[in-house]
Amino acid sequence: MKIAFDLRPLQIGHQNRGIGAYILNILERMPKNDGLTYIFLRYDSSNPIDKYNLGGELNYIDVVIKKRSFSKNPIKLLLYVYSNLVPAFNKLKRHKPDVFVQCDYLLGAPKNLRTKIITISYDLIPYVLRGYYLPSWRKYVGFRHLRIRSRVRLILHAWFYEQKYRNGIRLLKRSKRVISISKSTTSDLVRLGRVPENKISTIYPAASFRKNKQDVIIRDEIKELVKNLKGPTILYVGATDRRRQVKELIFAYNLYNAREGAINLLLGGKEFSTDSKSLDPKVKQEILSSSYSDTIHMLGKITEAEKKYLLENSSVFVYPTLYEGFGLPVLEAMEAGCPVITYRNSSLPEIADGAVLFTEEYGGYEIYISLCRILQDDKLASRLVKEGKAKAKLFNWENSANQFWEEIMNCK
Amino acid sequence: MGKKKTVKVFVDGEVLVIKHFSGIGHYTAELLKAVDRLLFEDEYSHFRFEIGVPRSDAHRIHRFSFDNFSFRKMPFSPHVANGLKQRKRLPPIDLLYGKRVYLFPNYSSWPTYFSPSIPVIYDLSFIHHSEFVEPKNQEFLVEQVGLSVKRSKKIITISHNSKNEIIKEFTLKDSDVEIAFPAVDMHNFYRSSDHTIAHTKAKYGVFGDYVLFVGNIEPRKNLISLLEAYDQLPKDVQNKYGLLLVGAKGWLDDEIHRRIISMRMRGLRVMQPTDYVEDDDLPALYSGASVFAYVSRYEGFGIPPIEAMACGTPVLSSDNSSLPEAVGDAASLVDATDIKSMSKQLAKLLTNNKLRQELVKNGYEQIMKFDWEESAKVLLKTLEEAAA
Repeated sequence: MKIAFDLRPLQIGHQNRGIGAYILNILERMPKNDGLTYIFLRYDSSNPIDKYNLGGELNYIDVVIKKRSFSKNPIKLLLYVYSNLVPAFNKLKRHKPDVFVQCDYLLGAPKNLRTKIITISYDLIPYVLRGYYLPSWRKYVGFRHLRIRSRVRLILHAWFYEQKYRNGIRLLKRSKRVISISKSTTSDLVRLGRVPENKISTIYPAASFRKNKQDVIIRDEIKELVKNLKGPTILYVGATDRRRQVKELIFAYNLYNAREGAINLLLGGKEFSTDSKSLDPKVKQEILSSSYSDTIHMLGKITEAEKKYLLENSSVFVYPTLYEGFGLPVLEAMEAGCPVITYRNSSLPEIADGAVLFTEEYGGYEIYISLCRILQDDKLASRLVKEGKAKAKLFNWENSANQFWEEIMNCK
Repeated sequence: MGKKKTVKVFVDGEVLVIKHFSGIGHYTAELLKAVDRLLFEDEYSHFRFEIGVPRSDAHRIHRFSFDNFSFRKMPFSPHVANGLKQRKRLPPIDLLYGKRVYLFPNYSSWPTYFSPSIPVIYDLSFIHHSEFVEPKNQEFLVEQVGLSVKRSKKIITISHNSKNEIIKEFTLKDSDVEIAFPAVDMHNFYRSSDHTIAHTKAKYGVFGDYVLFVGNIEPRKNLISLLEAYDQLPKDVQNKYGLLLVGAKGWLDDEIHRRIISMRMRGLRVMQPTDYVEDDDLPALYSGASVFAYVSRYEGFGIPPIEAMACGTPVLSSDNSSLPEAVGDAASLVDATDIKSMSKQLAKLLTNNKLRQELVKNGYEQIMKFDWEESAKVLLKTLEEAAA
């Protein structure tokens, strides 16, 4: 049996996010026997198999394709758009795989009737929060204050992503099987993507602080910082895109400082560094203008081991998110034994009900109320830690990976 | 779920960009910011907002960094437009921009030919308390607001008190007037750290503990009575607490300044900031104050008291117009004309710690009653109804 696996998601930025964790954990546990041949599709920039040490002694077929990147040259731009909207898999088709596993539904799949396609779907957030992630191109037609050039660029940009996601949904529909990572994603797939429910199977991820070579180090300055903190500590680790309301978290932090007493805020993630250009300007403004900004610590990019260390040494982990496919950071916090405050939406009640503190509504004020509850009630905090640890044990990678590979073997 | 019909809205954005950024400008900016946030949601994605800005100051609109609005340039400068308004020679605005709902956030509206228009009328002080409004402005408002109401499909105002007055004055139906309350943006207004307070006080040359007033220096704010009440405080209280007056120059303020100078001559600590106070520094000044005193004769709503509440400062407020509505039971209310009881109440607030704590606690609850997002929802609902 020939199994083709698309490794490109590991090369376009997903490796640091939840999607990367899912793929890596699945690949680490791939079955190895004589009947199986693996074909890995990747860009020429690096080799994820070597980089993450996945194969061991494995013999596999390596299919390398050139990455088309965004360019201002009109011809290259057209090629970029074409390759994104109509992806071709000529090199892969030559090897005639029986099964093709696509880990990111935006990257397409071969149109070959003999190849069975399995797609992993993490979430349909762009469709759920359309206003933030996938605004209609019609919105920009009336933007008369912009130059015609910028307006056309915005319109084309919006159109491009609309098409790309539409193709993604089409791929989900023509896949033999779709693997979703939570019940809430499954119901979204049925509701928004119109994917037949009997085609979808739910396989949960689990918390895992992966131990790569570079990931076991805990920097001394972080240890020093954590040791010298006075008073309770709020931790946030993650990105600052629109669905994560970091601004509201900082507001809650300000309010707690103003009304209850001194508290610290640790912000971890690639974007929280002084020279980061991708930090949301509104978040940056909120951090800089805070009257209590001297106890906000921006840690920048942190390793897995540091994340675990911070979770173990913080009073509360706050994750204000408007939508999640699964909510891996919440599960990781639960496993590390840190009480969690989060919003009640999407998959979060499914994985963490009873083990985290959900706010009543959205917004910074509600986070503040929850902060007061957790920090001033030790019993509640210790109960959440206990429940969280118990709940996190229900998810484990061995089971999930077994289920996953079984699904693929059965597909033949 | 059927697709909703697109609602096109045009907002006269003059108040957002003029150099003298007043209370009306703040209200409009905050309301539009909340609307901007709401337009990301599916429920409101059928709204298309355009903001008309005067040609000369058009670039100043970008400091708000709205995500979902587009901007158009107005045909005349504000000066010319006001002249034409007075002469009733203003062309119908919808001949220029097409059919949409027109929102005018500054009392007076343009005529429209076939489109609904909605003015925001904050209060009727120019009719009921004409002595508090500049005569030139008063004539203009009386005439223009009458016309605006006649042209309008609906009216937006900011408090129950104003709503009742408008309904009574223009004999309207209850459903014609909607209330979009102002609120405190708690992202900016919270109790500042001691470090920030000290820094800000040093920046504006303020020292010691103080009673704070924020607002334009004009007769409507009843400053003379406040000064008088401060004068009548017991000596030991007076020595401990100064009086800080923060605000832009209004009109008819000579008498007030004379009073301040004569009090300073007698060694009383009546302070004014040494520099124009920036908006970002207001929370720190509020937080540093021992009491916030706001004893106006008339207010459309009264935002400064609730801003003070958000910063955890006890409030002394007068009991007329819409102020009781704004401050609820979280402020110590006094009669604006009774100087003696005002002074007594101020002394009590400064010395009674238990009362202060209770007021602060009530204040934190009171400010939760107002929310920009709720007001924005009211606005959008009104616009949708007007468009239908």
